[in-house]
Amino acid sequence: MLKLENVSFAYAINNKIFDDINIEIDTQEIVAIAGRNGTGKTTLTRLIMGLLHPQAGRIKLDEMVISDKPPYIIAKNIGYVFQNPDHQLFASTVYEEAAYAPKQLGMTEEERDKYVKQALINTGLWDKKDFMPQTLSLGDKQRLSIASALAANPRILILDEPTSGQDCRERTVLLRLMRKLNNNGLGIILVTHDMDILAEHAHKVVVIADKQIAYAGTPRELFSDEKKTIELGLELPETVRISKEMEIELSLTPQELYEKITAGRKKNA
Amino acid sequence: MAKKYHQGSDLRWITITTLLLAIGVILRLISPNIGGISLNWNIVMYVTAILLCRPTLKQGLGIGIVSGIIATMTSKAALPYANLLSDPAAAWSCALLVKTRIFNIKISRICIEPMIVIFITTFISGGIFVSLTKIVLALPMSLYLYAMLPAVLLVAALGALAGQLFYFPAARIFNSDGSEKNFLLKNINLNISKGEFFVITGVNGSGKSTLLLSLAGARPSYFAGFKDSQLFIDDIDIIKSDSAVLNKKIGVVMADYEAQLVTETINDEIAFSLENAGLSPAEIIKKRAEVLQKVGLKNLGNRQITSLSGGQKQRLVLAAILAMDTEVLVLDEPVAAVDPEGAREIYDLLYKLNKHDNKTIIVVEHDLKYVMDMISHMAVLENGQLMFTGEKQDCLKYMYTNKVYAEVIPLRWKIRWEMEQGLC
Amino acid sequence: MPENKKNAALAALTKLLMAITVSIAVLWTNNLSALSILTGLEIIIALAARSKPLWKGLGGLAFFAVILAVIQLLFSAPFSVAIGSAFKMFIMAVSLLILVATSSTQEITASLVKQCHLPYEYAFMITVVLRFVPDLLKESKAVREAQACRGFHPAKNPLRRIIDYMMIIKPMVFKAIARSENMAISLELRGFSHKGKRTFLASRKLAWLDYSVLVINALICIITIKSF
Repeated sequence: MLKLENVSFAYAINNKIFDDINIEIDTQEIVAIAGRNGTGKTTLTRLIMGLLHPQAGRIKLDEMVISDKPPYIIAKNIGYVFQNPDHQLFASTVYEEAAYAPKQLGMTEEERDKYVKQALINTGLWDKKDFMPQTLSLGDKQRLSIASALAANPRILILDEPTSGQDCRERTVLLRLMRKLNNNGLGIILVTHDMDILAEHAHKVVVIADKQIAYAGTPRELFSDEKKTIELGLELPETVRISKEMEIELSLTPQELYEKITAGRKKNA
Repeated sequence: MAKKYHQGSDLRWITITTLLLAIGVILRLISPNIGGISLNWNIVMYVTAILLCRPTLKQGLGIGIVSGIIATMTSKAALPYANLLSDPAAAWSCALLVKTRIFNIKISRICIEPMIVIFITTFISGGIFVSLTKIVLALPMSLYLYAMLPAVLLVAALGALAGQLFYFPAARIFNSDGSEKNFLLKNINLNISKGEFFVITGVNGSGKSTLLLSLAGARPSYFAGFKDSQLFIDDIDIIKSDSAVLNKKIGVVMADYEAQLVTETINDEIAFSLENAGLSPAEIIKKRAEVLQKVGLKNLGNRQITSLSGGQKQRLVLAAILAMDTEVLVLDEPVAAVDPEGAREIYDLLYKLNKHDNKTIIVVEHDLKYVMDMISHMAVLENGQLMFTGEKQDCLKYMYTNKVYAEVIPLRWKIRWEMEQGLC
Repeated sequence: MPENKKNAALAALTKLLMAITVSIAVLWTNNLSALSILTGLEIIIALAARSKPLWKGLGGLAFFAVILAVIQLLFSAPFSVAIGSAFKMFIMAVSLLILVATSSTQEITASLVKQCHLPYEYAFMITVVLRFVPDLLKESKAVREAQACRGFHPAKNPLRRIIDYMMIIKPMVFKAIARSENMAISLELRGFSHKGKRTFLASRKLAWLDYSVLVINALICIITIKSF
């Protein structure tokens, strides 16, 4: 469990981003963070990662308080994948890139080799381990930054708009990877403005509005209340819109939608 | 590969130098130092630029003058004007050293040219700088010999070390430059009529950008060129035309808005293209007001570009291109780096430009979310080949049936077809 | 602030010429009284300009001047020489700072090209460098954060620190190189290499105010030097 207890944060006096928020995030699930632009989605993940520190309250990972620790300590437990992979790729090979965090965090050579290999295999980059990171395609680069966070063997992975700039094929690959990692026991915190992705993949949604946690619960419950969704500054996902138009039960994933449509047709026939 | 760039891009030495010098300026402010002595990052950066581009001696001198003026404007040195002499002299010598390649030496298979060249250049620059300072300000000889000159040597050594560490990967990026982008196009036949809103789609690396830049006449000069090809806009043969003629016909907006904004304020940015074209100040001011109104940045003329959001920056790029009054607007993934709100604003704007101002708009996109309802015709590319071009419905149907980048087809279209076929 | 820059009372060229005149004047004299009078006058002008960055810069330069004097004293320079060169450094640097802080870069480059005959390419490069500084500063922060999340933290050993710093510099340099290609294409497409005549919207002819200020400035400099 990742717990935020009475957390308040402001970049400047009189400009509070969060005012006394409390939330528990299950570290087994895919939890999406949503909200209007500028409401503080990434401020929240930055607080969790220790890039920012709350002015009041504390953040705990299980029983350990992490809100007073710097990011390079928290990195052992939480990996953070930024939106733009170009902001971190520096090594001359893919392998070296992935091996940086474990080296920095003081793993033994044996452990390091094990986790780096595992991370590169998981992300489908093992065959490219001798390539130069900057010459990879955007999709590969993004997966490499995921691999380099995975190599530190964290319990939680924060993904900040991981699909931005990627084409639909790359996006599919990346989301499939996210699901697989989660099935293997990794907790995912996903910051996204794409409601289609959120509806299809997230177990829970946390919506931020007006310096508060405005909603925390399942996507199904959220999207079944159209008025509230709009009020929170979010759009309905395409799947939900289609199910409304076709007047069938609310469906979140395309798969579900297909099934509901088929079932509906059989009934009619 | 490297050779091609030297023939083609006459401007690359300018863009590389400026971006690296800007990095140099901020590194002087933020990088760690040893006992108050920080590296002269400006020198490391312009030497890197000179090593990468291997410019002429005259260009080398120019790089030095630019660096000297920047240093004079930004540094807190004992004698601010000294940089105006030391940097040009050093950069010119650097260009000379690089041109003759006398230090292209290898020690156990590692080329140490960058290290030596940075060391010498820093020493020349620093030597001139401290000597001038000593003479002009009449500083004590002991200070000069035991503190200033050793400091120069230390800075030169550290700079050489730092430069050696990043030069080779940098050179690899410089020479390979997005291997995906170099994808050759094969056997493409495409007609786009006047006044159309046309989309070209395909996965990243399918050759979309190359095609688009070819349309704009940018690629032929960067690459070896076209073989047995014809490219016409109206009756103008793009392949044979000079870029000045094309600039009047086609305006291009790319995804990386940062790379396309080169001045400090919104007003200056719009003026830039018009100044290049030699319009009179009165014309520039009139045109500028007009385009800023169109893109919704009307009262922001004096705003610093740095303070704008991504969406605003991209609209500014668009405005700067609109100011050039071209018939055709070509956009390469215009919303790839913009948040969804900004993206919608940009596409609404493009729609208006197409409908009300009758601009022919060609967009390259790997995601059809925002454009789907605006277009009537589209094309799909895969592996450098044009797979289909025609009406939207036909093209999507083709993609669906033949599994050509079918991921991009909107869900409701897929469902409709699958229902028709009784699949669901 | 930018509005102030645009409508500054004096042309950039005037301020540049003033800076040069003052600099020549201070190199001419070693008299501490003359130097302190010039310093005083300059500080008054700088304060009158009502520009925050200018005031901040003033503080920084004053600090630096003191350090310069102290270092010289440590190397057993005579007191008057040490103080004198600190004054000189301060006066020259502030005269330039006034120019930079109160004129827009576009105007400075326009006057460098039109009035000082610097080739346009070079002047253009200067504006672009200054335009990218704030953006790259933000980017450097983003890179630092990204690397911190991978366990990057500054080492104690200073040499080690510089080598570690490559983690921050490399992504920035690599990105700049990749970006430079698009930038070159974009410039080409916006008619940068167009051979015809170019307009300079920001260029400004000297007005009677400029000329009178220049003359007064020169007179003050001459009188101060000659009277001591």
